[in-house]
Amino acid sequence: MLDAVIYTGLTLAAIVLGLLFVMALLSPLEALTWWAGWSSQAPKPGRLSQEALEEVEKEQEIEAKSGVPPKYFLVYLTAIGGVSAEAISYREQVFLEKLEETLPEAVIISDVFPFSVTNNPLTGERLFGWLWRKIHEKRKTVTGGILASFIFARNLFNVAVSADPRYGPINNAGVAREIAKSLFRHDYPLEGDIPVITVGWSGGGQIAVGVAPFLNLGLDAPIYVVSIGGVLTDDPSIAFVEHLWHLQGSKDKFPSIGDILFPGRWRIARKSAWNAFKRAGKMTTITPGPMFHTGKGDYFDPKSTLPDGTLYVEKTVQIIRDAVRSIQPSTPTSIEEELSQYIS
Amino acid sequence: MPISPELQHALLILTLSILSLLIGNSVVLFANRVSRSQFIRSLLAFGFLFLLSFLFWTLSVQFLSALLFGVHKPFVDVFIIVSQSFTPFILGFLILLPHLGHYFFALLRVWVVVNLIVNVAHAYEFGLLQALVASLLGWMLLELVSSLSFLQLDAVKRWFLKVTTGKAEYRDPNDLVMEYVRAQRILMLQAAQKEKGENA
Repeated sequence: MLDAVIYTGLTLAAIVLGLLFVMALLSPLEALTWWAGWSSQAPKPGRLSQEALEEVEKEQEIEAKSGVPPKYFLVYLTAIGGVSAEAISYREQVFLEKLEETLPEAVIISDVFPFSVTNNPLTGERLFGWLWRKIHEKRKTVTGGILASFIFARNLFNVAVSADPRYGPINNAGVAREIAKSLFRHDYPLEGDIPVITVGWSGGGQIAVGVAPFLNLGLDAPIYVVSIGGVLTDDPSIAFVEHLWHLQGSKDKFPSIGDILFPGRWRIARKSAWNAFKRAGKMTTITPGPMFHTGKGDYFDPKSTLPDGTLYVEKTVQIIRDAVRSIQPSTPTSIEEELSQYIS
Repeated sequence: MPISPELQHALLILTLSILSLLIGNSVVLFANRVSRSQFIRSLLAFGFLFLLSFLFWTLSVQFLSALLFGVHKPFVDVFIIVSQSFTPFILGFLILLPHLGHYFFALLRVWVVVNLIVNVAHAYEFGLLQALVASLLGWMLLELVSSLSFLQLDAVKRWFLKVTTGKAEYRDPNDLVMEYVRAQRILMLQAAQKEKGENA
């Protein structure tokens, strides 16, 4: 009897490990086939996306709009437990609402799924979309909870793709393209040089850094990053970030994984982009309180309070508000000026 | 001429190793936006180039062992020794693994070199130093020959790739992506400028 149980357990473990291995091996393919033009949504060099064309057409309208234009654009990127940009947790929704109330001068964007180069949700139209939908529907049950580990694993592998110097540029350019499309949908002006702040939670932190070079170049905008318990890697993209605020709760040990796993973050790697960035004083690490990485008592908890009575979620929002408001506006470059830079 | 089981085995190892390594390193093909048919042709072309390097290395082991240490072995025997040393490359597809892949590639290369030294030492009954010289001098020679610009090997390689795959150059993914983003920005600015001009 015991033998049978052990045998079944070992067989199941082997199947799960095998599945995870195959998932890891195939994880770069979505970005690679997209870039190579093997998918219908592939980028087309020499042609602008529909969103970009519409942006150009409505540029005059944006300029003519009355009222105070937004000072900042914040793009929220969810953590590895997410299946889409829409299906975020209640806690994240509360956080975003509070952020919007606290920063009326900013546009808050949360419609980009950071773990897909085409902003295609896991539950969207894809080969195993049906499977992800089933798992997502059942994730509140015990079995579903266990199966949901595959969602974490899938997105975790995507974070590894983003951080890998071979795949990273392709993957991150895809996500940056989706972010740019969303910014244009939200009336981001073409020649405003308005700061863009990518706010990434957990694995979303790496994506927030990874997209920086492409957003910086593609929008001609200064890029700032807020990492909420972000698992940051040694991605050289950090060189394109103006400033990074890293929030890490005293009970959140996950971000420290990056210190071990990524050699570019080791002190010995003095010339790495990460260490150069830190030496330049561009990184601020903040401990908001005794927050955990996720679940009850995490950064978005709307019930737990600090000793002074501040809700955890409010504390997180306050820190982000202060960080964002410390950003100095940059001088806008006109279309003509920018074009002349490229031509020269 | 009948093929000995050892040679069959060596050929199988070599074929699987080359195929696996090519799949593992195929990111450069995707990055260069090859079509599906170009992908297959590129794999074959790069496979052929890898085979040439392999043959050069095999010949160098045979030649150096004879020249420096006076031990001559038939080419087929050396081919079997070197092919068997390449066995770890059968795991070359693991290079695809994100983050771990490039560390794994480095590990595989070290493993292959150590294998080759051990196999040469065993087959030729060499000491460690002799095996090191016979195994690695050829590889260093290959590196040297490749870097000699007057031989124009690079131009030959580019011509060969152009003829077989339709692409002479395979560029770094980061450069390609940055170039694409820059071009998109310029296109957008030009479109906006045109729009402004029409509205004025």
